[in-house]
Amino acid sequence: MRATFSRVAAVARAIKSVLNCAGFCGKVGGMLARIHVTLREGVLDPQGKTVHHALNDLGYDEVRGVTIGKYLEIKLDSASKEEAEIRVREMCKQLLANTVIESFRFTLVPTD
Amino acid sequence: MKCGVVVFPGSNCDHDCYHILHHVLNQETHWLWHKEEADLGSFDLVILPGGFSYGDYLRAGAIARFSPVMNSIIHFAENGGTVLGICNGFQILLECGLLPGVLMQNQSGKFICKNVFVRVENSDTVFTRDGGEKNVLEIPIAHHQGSYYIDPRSLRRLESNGQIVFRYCDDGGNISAESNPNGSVGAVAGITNAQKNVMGMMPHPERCADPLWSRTDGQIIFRSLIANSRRRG
Repeated sequence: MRATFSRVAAVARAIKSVLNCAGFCGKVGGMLARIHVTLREGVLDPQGKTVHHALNDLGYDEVRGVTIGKYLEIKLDSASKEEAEIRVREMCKQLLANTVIESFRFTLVPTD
Repeated sequence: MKCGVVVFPGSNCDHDCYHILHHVLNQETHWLWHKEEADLGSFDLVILPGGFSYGDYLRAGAIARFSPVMNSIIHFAENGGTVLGICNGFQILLECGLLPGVLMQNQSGKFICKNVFVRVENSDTVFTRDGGEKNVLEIPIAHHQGSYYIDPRSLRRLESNGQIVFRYCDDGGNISAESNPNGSVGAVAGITNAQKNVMGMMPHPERCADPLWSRTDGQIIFRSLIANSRRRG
């Protein structure tokens, strides 16, 4: 039984090392993408406008504009920061932002 | 006319559409489940109903557009099939690119639920041909993200192509800022694609199409579609 287990473990280690070598530019690691999606310049933002007025009403006369957007954190596995950047950009364009009215920006931080 | 009504998780006007098509207008009507691709070759009409598909998470319609059934509907529409998107259905048609533009939060920031008037801007579509002389319809709206937006040049193109089908107006058919409930550019309430086989509209014709109710202007849209499918035989 123990022998079987160690054979299985050895095979698993071998597979893992092959995957890492062929590993499309290195070891797969954790990454955190912090994504902001906001309305593009010039697109009317009723929520932002309402909050802007509310702040002015509270006496914050220095407030010149408010933009409200979305903030997303995505945990992902990626072989490299470059690859993660390409994938996250794709995610933003395909689903997370409607680029007709929204723009997006993000940062990537390795997590382990 | 063979009709399909799509059911997404969160659709809530699907039964109203089914009721009008099947019980009121006696048309063969089938449910189309969002998780399944469907062979729509034998269908005359597919309706994307109103509601809050996928909770309107992220943006209204943003997640529904990736449902398996949408692949079939896009294929159906690209082959000339007639598709009507109402409210959330309109939002999904914009998200998937079958129609141009976007629907944003109402300018007032409020959810608006009331009867409004719309002027028929193009009575020569499969969706509006049965209206006769009547060119102002009273149809309810119920939405939070119904403010239509498109860049000025594309709006002019929609206008010159006759793709704007409905505009918000008052009871006399006059268009003004007061008669525009949500701040849509050009007071747009409903548009078609360039081929005019796909229409999206924010007002709910299925909510004013049962003769038991006091208002039935919504029937014009369903009757136009039925008459059109008869003409095609």
